[in-house]
Amino acid sequence: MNRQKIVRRNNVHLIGDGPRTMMLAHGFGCDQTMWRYLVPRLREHYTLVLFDYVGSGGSELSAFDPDRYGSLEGYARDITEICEALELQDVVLVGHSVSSMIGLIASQENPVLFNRLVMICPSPCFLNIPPDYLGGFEREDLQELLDLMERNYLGWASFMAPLIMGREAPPELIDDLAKSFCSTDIRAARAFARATFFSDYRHILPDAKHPALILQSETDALAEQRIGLYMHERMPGSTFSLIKGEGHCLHMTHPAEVADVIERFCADRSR
Amino acid sequence: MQAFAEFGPEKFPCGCLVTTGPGTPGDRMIVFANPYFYNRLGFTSGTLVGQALASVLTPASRIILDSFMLPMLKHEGKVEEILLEILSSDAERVPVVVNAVIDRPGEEYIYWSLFRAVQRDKLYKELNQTRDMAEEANRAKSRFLSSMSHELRTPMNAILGFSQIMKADPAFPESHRSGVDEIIKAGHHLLELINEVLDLARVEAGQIDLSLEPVPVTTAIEGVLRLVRPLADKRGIQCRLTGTANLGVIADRTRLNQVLLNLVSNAIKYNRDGGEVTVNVQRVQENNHAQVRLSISDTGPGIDPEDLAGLAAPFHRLQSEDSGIEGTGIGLTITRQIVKAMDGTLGISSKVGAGSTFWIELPECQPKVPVPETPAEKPAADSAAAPQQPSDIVLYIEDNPVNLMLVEQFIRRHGKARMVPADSPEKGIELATTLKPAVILLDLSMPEMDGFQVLEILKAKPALAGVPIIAMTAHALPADIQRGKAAGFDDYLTKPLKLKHFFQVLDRYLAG
Repeated sequence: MNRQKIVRRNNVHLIGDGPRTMMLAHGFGCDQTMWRYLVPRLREHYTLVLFDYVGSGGSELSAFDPDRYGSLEGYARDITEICEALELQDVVLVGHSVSSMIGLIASQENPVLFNRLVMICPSPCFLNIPPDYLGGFEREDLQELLDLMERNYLGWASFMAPLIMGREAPPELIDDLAKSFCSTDIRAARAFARATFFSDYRHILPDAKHPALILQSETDALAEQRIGLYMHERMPGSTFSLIKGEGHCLHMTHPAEVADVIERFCADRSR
Repeated sequence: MQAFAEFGPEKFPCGCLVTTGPGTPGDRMIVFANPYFYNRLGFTSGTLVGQALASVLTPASRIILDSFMLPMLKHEGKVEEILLEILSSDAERVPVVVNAVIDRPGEEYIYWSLFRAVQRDKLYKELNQTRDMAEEANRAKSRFLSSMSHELRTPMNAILGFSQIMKADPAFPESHRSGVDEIIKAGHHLLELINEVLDLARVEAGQIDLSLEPVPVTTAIEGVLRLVRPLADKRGIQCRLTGTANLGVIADRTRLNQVLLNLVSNAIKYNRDGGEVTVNVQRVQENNHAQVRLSISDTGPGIDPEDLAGLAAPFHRLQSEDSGIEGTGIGLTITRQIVKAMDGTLGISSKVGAGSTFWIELPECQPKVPVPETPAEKPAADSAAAPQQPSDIVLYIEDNPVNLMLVEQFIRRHGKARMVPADSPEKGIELATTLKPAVILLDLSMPEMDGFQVLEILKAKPALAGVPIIAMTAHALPADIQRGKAAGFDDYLTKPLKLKHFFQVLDRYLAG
């Protein structure tokens, strides 16, 4: 596929003109606008590549294919296709939540494209898989969560919209955004949710091919501290960093701390 | 009169809670709940104070609270209209819509209001179910269309194929010739109708696959004008291209041609004899975006303002039911949808007695120098095991005897090969191995084993390496064709077969 088609399909935006390339991959339930608090800091040193996965935000819904996007590999292909279309190299790939794992898949499939990975609040598997692994949730809990999120679908828009636009945004803009959220294909959201919450990618952790920074929140209902440590123990060349804060969206709630840690990690050329 | 400030939260008909905020370490603890909250959830007044907020939430609601609501509260100071499930004293789930604000700057407390949403949630669930059903129905429609496409095209293959053979036969009685012409004409019309209905259905379902690229406008228009020249000449209509040369648009090349062909041929069809069709190209500025406007004007009777509105509705044909003008009435609907899908707009202006102008606007781009197409790669017939005497056998594996008969006659007319029929996959595989044919034609829909399975078996035989295998099918949707090519077919012929195209494909693959 050509550059233009991919740029359009994934609503790709380039910000900044720093010498290094950093790609920001959003998590489930939002889109690239969730990076807005981090962008001002990072754009000083990096050319930032922002995008929406097919099925999210401003992507082309017509490109949604339930087979491809039924598993995280399909989303990983979005990442590599964008890198290839834009001829990106040595990319620092920053992923939030599920995108950490999507990034890990992409980086293992096409190692040459990437330089290092940043994983914000990651989890390789949300499910409890006895006897050795406690992802935090039983299948029924997660099914209920998906169900509740789906029932929140319309509310979700008004919930996320002010966050995305900022409090000072005029209400009519927020309304516009809410509308655009509502028009998002629920089939795509459902597929992404299932691929996110019911997958198990623990087996790929030892095959990590790049230095990775794992950013962990002190209190995170979705990915507890032990999950971050579990990943750190199994990923060769990984760095674990605990951010003093709570919640699953550190890049939104603690952008300054997150930017500091990322910059230190990327500045360390010994890796 | 009592001051309003004196009315406390106990008066309000909604749940009111105060919990600790992020400024306080630890979990969010309940520090106050109003009587409505206690009553509706069946708790004894005062018992919730000191309890964790999480203790009255379902596990899923806890995740939403921790992962999304608290970060949002911290950042924005409030959340609104989030649906959560609260657990009543007897562990019953009660859906509630929640609003919350955090006190600043200390962030010590969060103030919550909760509204029962039992009815709203029930309706929403029903709405979701209805939507799921509608989506399933839509998928069923797509499946139906795909199979209808097959069912309708198969008999068309026999009708058009045999009538073309009859017409080409010098011994065919002259007295029946015009009858055969009518069959062919009606057959083509019916085929066009089938294709357009299917195309419209695909476009409406958002299933058109667009490949957007820079397209030089002048070249595209000239190509279309060349195509319609016979139609225009027949009625003495002059076609002209005017305006700015060398502009480019972002569009799907094939679909743009389809759009232009529809608009230009309409301008000819609905024109007067000896009239004019002008295609004008100009650059326009739309909200600071450079657009290219292609206007197609005719000198026909014009359109009554009352008729303009319904013009793009499917099957709508202006005063043409009795006018003898051929068409399906779907063209303009498809055209409008395609233009829209390419981020363009379509507009119409018309004056009764003076003619009409149909215009489209598409995003401008710099035209690219057209790259000459590389010739299609021919199969390596002369590779490894080059036979001394090239085979002239075309093996046709097909369970439908009418199709076998038809293709046999086609190949006989072609004159450079002979056909060996195989009316079952097993027989076909056996014959392929023993005969080593020059080309294998393979039907995709056979009851015992489909064409893809047969292809796999044939491809696995080293003796057949390099023998081109061509799919023959009435499945004409682009996705079907793509699937065929991806599976490893060298080419793909859709039924009804067109004699000329069939010969071209045969020529391409026959050795020598």
